[in-house]
This record gives sequence, structure tokens and C-alpha cells, in this order.
Amino acid sequence: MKKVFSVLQSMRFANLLLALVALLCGLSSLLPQGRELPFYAANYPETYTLIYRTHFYDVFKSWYFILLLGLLCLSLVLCTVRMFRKALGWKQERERAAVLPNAESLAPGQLEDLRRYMASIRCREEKTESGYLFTKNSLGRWGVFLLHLSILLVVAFGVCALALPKVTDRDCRPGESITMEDGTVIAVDSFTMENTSGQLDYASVIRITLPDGSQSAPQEVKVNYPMTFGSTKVFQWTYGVGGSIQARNRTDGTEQSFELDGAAFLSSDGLTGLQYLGIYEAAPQEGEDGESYVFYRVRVVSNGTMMPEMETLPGESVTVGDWDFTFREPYYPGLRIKQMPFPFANSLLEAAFVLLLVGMFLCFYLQPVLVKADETGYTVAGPRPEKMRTELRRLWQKQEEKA
Amino acid sequence: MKTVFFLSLGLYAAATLIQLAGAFGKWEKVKKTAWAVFLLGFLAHLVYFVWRGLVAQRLPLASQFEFACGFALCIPVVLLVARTRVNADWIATAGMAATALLMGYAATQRMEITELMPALRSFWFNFHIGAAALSYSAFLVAGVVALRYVLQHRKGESADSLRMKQLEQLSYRLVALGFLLLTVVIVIGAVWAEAAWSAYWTWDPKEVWALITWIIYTVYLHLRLRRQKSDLWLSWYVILAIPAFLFTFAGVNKLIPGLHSYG
Repeated sequence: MKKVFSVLQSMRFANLLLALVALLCGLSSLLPQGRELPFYAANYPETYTLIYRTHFYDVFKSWYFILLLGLLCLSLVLCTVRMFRKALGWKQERERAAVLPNAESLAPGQLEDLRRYMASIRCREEKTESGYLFTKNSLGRWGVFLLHLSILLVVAFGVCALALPKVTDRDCRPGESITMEDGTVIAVDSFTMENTSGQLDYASVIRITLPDGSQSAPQEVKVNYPMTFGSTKVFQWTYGVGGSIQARNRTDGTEQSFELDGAAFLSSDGLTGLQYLGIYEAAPQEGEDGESYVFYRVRVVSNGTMMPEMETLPGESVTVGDWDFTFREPYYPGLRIKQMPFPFANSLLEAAFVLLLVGMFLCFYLQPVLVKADETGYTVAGPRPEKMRTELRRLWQKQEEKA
Repeated sequence: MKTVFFLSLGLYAAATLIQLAGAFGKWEKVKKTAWAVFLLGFLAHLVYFVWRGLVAQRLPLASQFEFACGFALCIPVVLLVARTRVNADWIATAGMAATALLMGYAATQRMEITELMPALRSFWFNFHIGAAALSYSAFLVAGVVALRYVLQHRKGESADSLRMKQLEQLSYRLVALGFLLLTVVIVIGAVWAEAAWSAYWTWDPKEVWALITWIIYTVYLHLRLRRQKSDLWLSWYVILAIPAFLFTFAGVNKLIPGLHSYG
């Protein structure tokens, strides 16, 4: 068992796992991932069986990739524990360093030069029984531990962030609303496709009402700027275009809405009504001023007689018999609704990201320095002594050059 | 303003040639001239970059051309920092050549300034792309320094000499900087992806290759920490890692369609 633990927490094993993960990631680039199986059957008929059997069409969801990640996490847990113990043992490391034999010798008077240099790089000097102990960046000893811990947290919270939220894509016409399974209502007040400076920019103004009755203020959602209310997050996802006609009977006041994807005849008796032909975009000719706009192409049918085709703009109305047909804005937003298990679920992952960067900074830029020195020589100790050793060699070389 | 771009490209190319001539002939004055020409090229490049940013009213890093241009701009910056540590001509030679080649690559891309598409209009845009350009530059210069190490080793210089130790450490420090910045790129990218695409990670080819690059350098940092391999071995590793981030930068966009295919 001890041997298994020793292998699992070894750096060699971690490197092997990392290399395998990288290799699988690289191989995954050879084939589009996560498509429907018929896609592979049609495009890769010769290798389809192999692709299917090895789950190569979705490497990142395959058992072997998940197993590798699991092993990597296990290795990471063991390493994190080891790093934690190591960071806690800083006091003992200092005590050990204080009695280490000298690795480099010092000429008479050089100890003072060393002390001056260590003071210039802001090292803390302590007098020991045999000489001096110089320390710096002791906080940096937590770097490697924090780095490993934060990667572990990123993986754990990341998996939760990918797996737990319920994601739904829904289209919604301005003025209408979407009711989710849990009773959350998302109402779309308006939808625009251009911002005030005329740039292409998809934006919906929405309101969210939670099942407990709490309601948000109207807020604009745009690409990159979703709206969060409670544990519901709404993204501006896509947009659609299609005929949208509101019909109102003038006699009895009944109303009906029609969302049309293709040509249709809107009539109550099959003889008189409105024939919807489609939506078109008109762009100004080259050299002409003006902006492009969309219009409806329709035709009135009266007692089976077809009138000439006509063009109407969104917002306009046409009366046919007892019915008023109002043409609504043809563009509508497609929203992505993400319902998280609890509010601030994402914050945990984002906190792990911050910890990762802090750990990395401590690891690379706050490396602990531990130097023991006496009249006869000195030795550089600590977890990563190379940099200090080289700096001191440079110092002596500069002194020699000066001399 | 295209003239300024081509002027800087020409100056970089000229600096590389002069530097090579100076290195072969061991003429110190010629090498100094090369560095001065290179700095002039950098100045012209900076002017072009700032002008383009002012015209576009954003950080000009949105297209392949702009990113290559920004990436190339970061190399002289990293070189200038590296020179404060190790003043080795050969690093400058390779750095100059890399800058000229990248600018040459940029020149083959579409150069017109386009309006930023809605997906790219984000607070995170500048940090994500800017950190990527700096990160790749740090990896590239680390590779150049490692190459210098290998060449010195072939000339018979001892691995224990101060200069070799400095070269190895500079290479490591540049990798550490690039790695930190690449992590920033991935983290910011994840936060941005959540805001734009509703998921922190989508296994998009660019994300996958950024992860591959990250893993490759993680293995390097592990190996170096443990000192299980010689400095020469580690230097070869840093050199051989160059294609990984170059593929993440250009190859993925060209060869594998995905969410990051913006042009």
C-alpha cells in the first residue's frame, strides 16, 4: 500500500499522467468532437468502427479520459498534502540550515560583503550560535501548496460548474414571456440588433420573476453581458426572424397571434383574409442615402379574389373584412437560460482561479531564500537554492573583476 | 500608415542581416549598429501599433494580422528585459530573426481594420489577448535563450560556468513568466467564456491547445524543480516546446475550425 501511495504522489507519475492527457487532447484535434454519430459514419466510413469503439468521437467524455483525470486528481490530492506538510516544516528547515556545513568558502572580510549584499536585497539577518542565518520570502513556501490546492479546487468546482446547472435555449417574441419548469418567468420587453452608434449589437431588455414572486428590474442582456437574478442567469444567445402578425376581430374583439415561418393564408372562412408571402430586406442602392429596413409582403384576398401584392412595415395594420391585421417586429431573441443549483455557485470557481494565480505568483516570484554563513564560508539552503547560488557567484565574480 | 508597418518589417529584417554579419565577422561596432536598427524598427512598429489602436478605438489584437503584430511587438520588449540579465549577442540575433519572421507572417494576413464583432466586445478582451501575446513572446525568447545554451554547450563550455547557469536560469524565468501569463489567459478566457457562451470550458480547439501548451510547460517546471534532468536536457525541452505554442497561436486558427476562428 505504501508503495502505491509513493507512486501516486511521485512527480514522475504526475508527469506521465499529464503527458497522457496532453496526448489525448492532441489526438482529439484530429477529429471534430461531440457530433452526432451519423456525421462520423458519413464522413469517415473507413475508420468509423474504430472511432465508435474507441469513443474517439468524444474523447473528453470517454471512460479512459475521465479515468486519467481521476488519477490526476488523486495524485494532486496526495501532492497537496505533501506540500502542506513541507510548508509547515519551514521552522525545522531553518533549524537544519543553521547547522549545515559550508558549501562555499569565504575569504577574510567577505562575510561583511555578504551581509551587506543580503541587507541590500532585503534579507532578514539572524545571529545564530555559529554565524548568521539570512532569510527572505518565507511566505513563498506556501506557493507550491496553494498552486496544487487551487488546481484541485478549479477541477472540482469546474466539474460542478459544467455539470450542475440546467441550461435551456428558448426563443421569445418581444412582449411575451417564457415560463420555466420551476415557475421562473422571463419576460422580454424589447429586442434590438444595433446599438446607439449603429454597430451590430444584439440586446434584449428582460425581466425575471422568481418562483417566490421576487421580480428584477428590467435589464439589458447583450452578448458578453448576461443578467443574473437569484440563481438564474440569462444570456443573449441567438436571434431569429419570422413573420409575426396579430389579428383582431373588430366585431367580437377576439385576438389571435400568428408566428409564421413560410407563406400562409390567414382567413376565418377560407375566402376572405390575408395572404402572407414573406419578409424581405430592402437595402439602399449604391450611392443612395438611407438605411436598410425589413418589410412584409402580403396580399389581401376578398371573396376569393386576389388583390395585388403590397408591402407593409412593422407596426402598420391592414383591415380585411372584420379583421385588423397588425404586423409586428419580425426579429426576436433566442435566450439561453442557465439555472444554477444555488446563487453565487460560480463565485467558488472564480475564487479558486484567484487562488491559482496567487499560488503561482508566490511560487515564481516569492521564492524563499535561506542562507547560512559564518567567518569561513556559507551555504545556500531552502527549497530552490539555484537562483541564490548563482546570484552570490555573480557577486564574487564582480568583486574579483573590480579587484 | 501601411508604410510604417512595412518600414518596421524592413528595419527588423535589416537588423537581423547586419547582426548576422557582425556575429560572423566578430565586429562589435556592426553588432551595435544592428541593435540600433532593431530599436528603430521597434519604434516604427510601436508607432504603427498605437496608430492602429487609435483608429480602431480598441487594442489592435483582434485578427490574425493584429495578433501577430502584437506578438512581434512583445518580443523586443522581452528581449530588452532579457538583455538586462544576460547581454549575449546570439540571443539578440535569434530574437531579431524571430521578430522579422513574425512580422513577415503578419504581412501575409488581411490587414484592414474591421469593426469588432459583438462576441469580442468585452471588458476581458484586452487582458486575455494582451496576456497571450506577452506569454507567447516570453516562451519564444525562453526558447532562444535555451538554444544559446545548447550552442554554448556544443562549443565545450562547462555546464557549471556562471554564464551557463545564468542562461539556464534566464530561460527558466522566462518560461515561468510565460506560464504565469498563459494561466492568466486561460483563467480570463474561462471567465469570459462563461459570460459569452455560458460555460467556463467548452473543449474548443483553441482551449484544448492552450491546455496542451500549459501541460507541456507544467512538465518542464516539474522536471526543473526536481532537478532530475540536466540543464542541457531542460534546454532542449524548452526548444522543442516552441512548436506547441506556435501551433496554439496560428495553427489552430488555420487548421481546426472552432469558436476562436475570428479571422
